Amino acid sequence: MSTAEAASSQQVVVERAHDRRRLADWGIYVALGLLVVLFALTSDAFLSVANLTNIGRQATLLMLAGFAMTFVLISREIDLSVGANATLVGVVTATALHAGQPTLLAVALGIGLGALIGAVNGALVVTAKLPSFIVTLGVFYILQGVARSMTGGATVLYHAPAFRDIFARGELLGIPTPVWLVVFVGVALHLTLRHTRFGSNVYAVGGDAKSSAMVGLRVAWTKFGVFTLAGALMGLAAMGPIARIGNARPDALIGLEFDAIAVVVIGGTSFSGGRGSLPRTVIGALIIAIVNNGLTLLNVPRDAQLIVKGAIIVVAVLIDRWVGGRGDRV
Amino acid sequence: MSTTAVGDETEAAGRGVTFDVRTATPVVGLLAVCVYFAVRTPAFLQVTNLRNLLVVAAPLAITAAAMTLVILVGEIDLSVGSVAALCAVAFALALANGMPLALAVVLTIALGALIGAVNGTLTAYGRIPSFIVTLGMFSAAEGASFLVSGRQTIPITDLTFFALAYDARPLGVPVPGLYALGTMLAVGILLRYTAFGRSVYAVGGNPRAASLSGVSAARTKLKSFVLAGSLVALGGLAIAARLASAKPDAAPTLTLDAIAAVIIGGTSLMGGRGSVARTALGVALIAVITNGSNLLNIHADVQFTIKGVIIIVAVLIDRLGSRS
Repeated sequence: MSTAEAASSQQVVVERAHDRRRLADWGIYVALGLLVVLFALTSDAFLSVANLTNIGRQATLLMLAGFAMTFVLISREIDLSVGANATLVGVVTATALHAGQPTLLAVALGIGLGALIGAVNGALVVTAKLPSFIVTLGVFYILQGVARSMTGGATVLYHAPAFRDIFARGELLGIPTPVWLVVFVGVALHLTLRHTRFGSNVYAVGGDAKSSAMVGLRVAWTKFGVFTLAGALMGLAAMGPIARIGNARPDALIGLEFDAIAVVVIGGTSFSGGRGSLPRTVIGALIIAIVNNGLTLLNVPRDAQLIVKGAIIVVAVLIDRWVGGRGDRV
Repeated sequence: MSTTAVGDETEAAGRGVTFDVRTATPVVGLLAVCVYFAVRTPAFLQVTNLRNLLVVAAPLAITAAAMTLVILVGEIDLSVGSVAALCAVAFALALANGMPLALAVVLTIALGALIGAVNGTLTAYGRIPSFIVTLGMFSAAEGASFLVSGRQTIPITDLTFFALAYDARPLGVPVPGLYALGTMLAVGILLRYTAFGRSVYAVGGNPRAASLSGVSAARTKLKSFVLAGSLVALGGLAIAARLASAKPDAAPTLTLDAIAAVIIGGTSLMGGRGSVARTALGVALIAVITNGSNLLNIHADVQFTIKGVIIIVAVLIDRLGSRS
């Protein structure tokens, strides 16, 4: 089969997915708009520049983790190790900075480690044909153990003002540097997903692996690439939290994998693969960040916010299901 | 595929009469670590340590039995950790406010069943993936237990409760261990000898075939979640008994540990294949490694890594075995 035919059949898969989505596309933007109006009316502080900047900072970690998870879910896999990955990368990067390594080297080391962890996940899933749920659960435990052993459970302190400026405190044209970073990475990833061969392969592999293999797609390499990319993104995501607080803790990002899944799912990316988009993941992250921020401004206790978050996750999927009228399952 | 075919398949996989790789791995693994620890430290085989082992493993065993049920029916429950904590907190608050012990126990189990019913209804009738439903429930239950407890540890002082749930030692066996064994036995019998049990395997193994032969997948799933929720409440009570108190973050790794125990035992995440007996092996393996590592002064941090390696090795061997 020629490459042109293969490409066009991928296109069909992708476009069909888009058609089904069109109706449901509006719901999430309306929800975001309603939330903004709601909080703007009930709290004077909500629309202040300081607060909006704050929301931006809070959302960056969710977005980067969400980007990683979006790629993985579209390819019909799952990654439960993302939080532990970012935790270990944070510990290693802080240790390197503490040892006086230059910022650039420490960051490259961290992102490289993240990519390596992702590559191991991918290799186990692809070559041993193990379910990614189990592989990444095992890797989650391993990484947690390594991070804790490395630090003896203690907090890793470091002193690197330049690093903290780049990944947390700095501003450019009044917008925090971490927000610029996420915008830059997000646009690059979106273009990759929508306009490159690798991107359309990710959709095709997740939508129908068997047909993808029959039309000559390298299913294994695509999934390996997705896991490696997700790992590298988590390496990058790890920089923000340690730059913000100025140290790294081995239990800092516990539960991030589930927040990432929540963000992606609220954005409407399908659990059954082959469907999803990064802009919608951005909206999902903004919804979570705005709800957390708005409820805090309204003096709703943090504990009650957890309940609201749980309800939002379920309701988002419920609406998506009813509007989209699909019956697909995990 | 007919129901009898499904039944035959699950019996072969479930009873473990046939000595295949799937069964052999956890058994050999468990024996190997037991021998290793027995040789390395004389403390391991002492009666006090074995009793301690049973007491410590009880909450995980009870929760893992619940997880087995949900996984066998082809779903997953990510909420068990925070639901167990919420049930324990509710129970401690009820006692603190003067509620009679028996009523408090019944209401706690009812709370677990109710949460299971919400999970089950949204999954089976709302047609939302259980991964999402129970992820939401995890967050909601965590928030609820923080809220009602005021982030405080609530002490439990009811002596009758401790006598019945913790201190008693009929025939020298600590009672938490008996509750755990009893729970696993009950769930095992339910799965193997009742119509409900057969429908769990049928729905998890092949939903279409199950519905063609007249088994309602939705109702079977709902029942499984309700039963699992009640068991998780029992697990919460076991945790409360052990800590002599209840707090919202009493069991941070319980959910993933329960899933790990089920997987290490060789039950398939895809549903329809596995058994509670296998989960018992998985729980025993995790508990023995934790206990033995503590005796050998291996740091808790390293134990995380060991657990992760075991999970991956277990499925790797399983995969290699099923190929040959």
